Amino acid sequence: MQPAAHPSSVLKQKDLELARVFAAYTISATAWLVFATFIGILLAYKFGAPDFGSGAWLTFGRLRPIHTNATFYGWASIALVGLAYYVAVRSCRTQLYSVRLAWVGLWLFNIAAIAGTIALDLGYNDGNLEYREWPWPIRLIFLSALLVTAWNLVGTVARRTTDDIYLSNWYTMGGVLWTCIIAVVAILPWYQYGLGQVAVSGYYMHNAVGMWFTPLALGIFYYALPKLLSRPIYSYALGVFAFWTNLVFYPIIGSHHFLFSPLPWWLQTTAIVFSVAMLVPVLGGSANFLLTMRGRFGQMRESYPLAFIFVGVIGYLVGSSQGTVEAFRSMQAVWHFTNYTVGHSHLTMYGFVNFAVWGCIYALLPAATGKYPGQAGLALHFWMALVGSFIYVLSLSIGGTIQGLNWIQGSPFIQSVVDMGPFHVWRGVGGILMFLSHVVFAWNVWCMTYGPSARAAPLVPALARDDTA
Amino acid sequence: MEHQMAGPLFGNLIIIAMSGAVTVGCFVAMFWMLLWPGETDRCHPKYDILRHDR
Amino acid sequence: MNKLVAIAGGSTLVYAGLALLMGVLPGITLSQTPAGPGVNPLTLIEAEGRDVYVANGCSYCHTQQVRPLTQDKVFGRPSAPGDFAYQTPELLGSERTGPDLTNIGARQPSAVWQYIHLYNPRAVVPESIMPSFSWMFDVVDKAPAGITPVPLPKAYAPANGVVVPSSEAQALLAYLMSLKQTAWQENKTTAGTPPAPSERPATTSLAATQAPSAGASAPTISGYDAAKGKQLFSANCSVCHQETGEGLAGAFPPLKNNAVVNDANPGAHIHNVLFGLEGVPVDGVKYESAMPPFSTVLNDADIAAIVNYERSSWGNHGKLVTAQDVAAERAKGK
Repeated sequence: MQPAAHPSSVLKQKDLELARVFAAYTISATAWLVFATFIGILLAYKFGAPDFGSGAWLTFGRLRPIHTNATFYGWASIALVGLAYYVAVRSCRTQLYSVRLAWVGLWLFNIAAIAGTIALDLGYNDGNLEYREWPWPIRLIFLSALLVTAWNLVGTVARRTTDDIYLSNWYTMGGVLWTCIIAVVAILPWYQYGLGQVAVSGYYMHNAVGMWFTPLALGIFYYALPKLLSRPIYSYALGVFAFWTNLVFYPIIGSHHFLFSPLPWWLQTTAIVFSVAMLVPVLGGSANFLLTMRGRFGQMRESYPLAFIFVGVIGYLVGSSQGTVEAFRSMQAVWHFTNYTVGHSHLTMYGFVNFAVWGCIYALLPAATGKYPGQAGLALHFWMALVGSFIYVLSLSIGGTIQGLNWIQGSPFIQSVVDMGPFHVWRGVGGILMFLSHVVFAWNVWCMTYGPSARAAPLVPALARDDTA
Repeated sequence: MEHQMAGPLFGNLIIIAMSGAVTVGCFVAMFWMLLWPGETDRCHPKYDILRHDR
Repeated sequence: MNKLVAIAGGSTLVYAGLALLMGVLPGITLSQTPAGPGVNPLTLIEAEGRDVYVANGCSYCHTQQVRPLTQDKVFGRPSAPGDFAYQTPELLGSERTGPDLTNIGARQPSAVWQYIHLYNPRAVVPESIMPSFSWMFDVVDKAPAGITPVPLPKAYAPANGVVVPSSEAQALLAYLMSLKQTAWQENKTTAGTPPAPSERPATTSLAATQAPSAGASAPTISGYDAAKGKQLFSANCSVCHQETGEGLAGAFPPLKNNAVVNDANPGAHIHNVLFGLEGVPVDGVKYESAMPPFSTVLNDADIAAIVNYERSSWGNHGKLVTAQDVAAERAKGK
């Protein structure tokens, strides 16, 4: 699939269809990214100017779930599904099971996200239960999109022409199938009363992130990284091991979001202990990616896709290890309820998932469409996103710690609000850089799909040699 | 422990011992695979993926 | 095909089992948690208020769970399982950009304060970054019978007319007022149970040991722990009486130049802080809202520090008090 090997003029019909699907998913996701992070900027601004945009439709408590849900289910979900389709088709050397289903899925994802956004802004919020705030009929639409995607993805792998199922597809198929279960558990009401609903919330807000975005992002890593480097993954077996350990350990640690709550103690202790066990797939997975890149880190200077993926791996490593540390009761006593948690969720969703998605889109979308983004656009996107998120996470981590210490010292509550002031400003600065980088990304996506391709040499000329042959 | 909702010490120890053993075993397996990755067979799917796959 | 079934099917089966074990089963068991003593279902208007709370995402900044940690004591006793029996949707929350509201109905029972604060939080707490919920209020020429207009400070009031709460704001207030912790259920013998404030040994003995030497008739600021007094005042009193001690005209009485605060006999002053005040004119002005009692929240030394801070700030010159004075007043009872 080296870009040089197939002139774009001879794309076969099936390839063209796949490229169109991949491009449509990416464009749609990008639109959601720009929208969701614009809302994010608005929210960040309101911390400094709480009277700005007062009125029901612009109030903080309605915009915040719009920001999180649009990021999760508009941007990241749609982008990852598009990538998963492409990786499945290529790694299985086959064609999409159904192009039509892929389009149906895209429409369903978008209908759910649009309806959900409007509902939240009108005040139809399903209980402020994080990441499942959309009214349940809208979440049913999202579930149907997941089912369509699962059917299509498994069907594609089923018609593979290779003997083995490449590791990437384990993760992507698994992620979609498990998330169908997550969505069903979240919707059924019979075990969600009072404290019971707290337990389900702990399960949901944890799993909807780590059993959906994580496996999909890791899955496309396992394909894009070897392709970029023309070098196989360091240890395939470790990738398989990480798959199963992640599957078993991750779901049982959800209650660490509710330490010190009246949830039963054994649920909390189990969650804490297995949060340590989660280091196995995290450290093993990250080491596997980094060892695959061994000796080739210098190539990041020429290849921005590689640089994006590298940051994504580091984000995965740091963000997930941080999650383990946060799960200890002694750490929770300081950081729980503070902005530190917001920093953590951005480190993982942004530093890991977003950079993974960007790296893989830059690596794979040009291979599908035969069109390339310019080097300047790539550089601008990379550096603004990196510096912006660095400022963002750092300021909230420091500010959040101060907040937590303020409370422990017994200062009047308002002191923690006052002390966060400067960090809220820095968060805004980081946020603006991040948002601007997304605008550049949108331009780059345009170049890779229907816009003017940079006629530069292929992105990865130096990497195209097969050093394993 | 700072509060009464941390549960009985003994119960906590049992959970920690059992899951601790699982955790240690998994760590050993992880380092094993990192130190001796093997997989030199050219037919292994990890090499297969690198071939021109369209 | 077999490989596909093993990987996709097998992992999904494993995951389904774990989802049952960690999500559904705890959900089923915990959903049956019985209500604690005195925990009641919400009334119709309170439930309506909760819908307003949810629709506007209040729980993204306010938690409703008190942890069994020292720093959470200001918000009430630790939350117990029975507290949540009628809490569906659960609104425990994950962030405290604003304070915890588990016990707000007891901590800040003044409807007037809540309305002013909802209309524009900065009218009572200048540093607040909470959004204004002014759209839940109507501006009318004349308040309809039976509804008291919100006594907003001039700087925040509309130029013409008066502000009255809409049905949305009234429901939200009813919900906030319903957020009151019931008494601690069973007295567990572990160290985690917070002792009742009055039994707690006075941590600041400064006031007790130094006040006598400060002289009976010449109160000075150095006669007590001024920093601690200021801090406690900020945490417990300033949202109504304001950091300036001037209160809010028409809503909360000033402490500056207040007769009771400057009275040589501190009995009434201590009594008001301990047991609250309702319906009694202050310096000839009648106030709508009640002052909450602090006898269950603060110990004698803390109350002495607050009283002394009030008696020696903003130009006040009241006689300073000791923790013993507070204890004596507490013993007299309401």
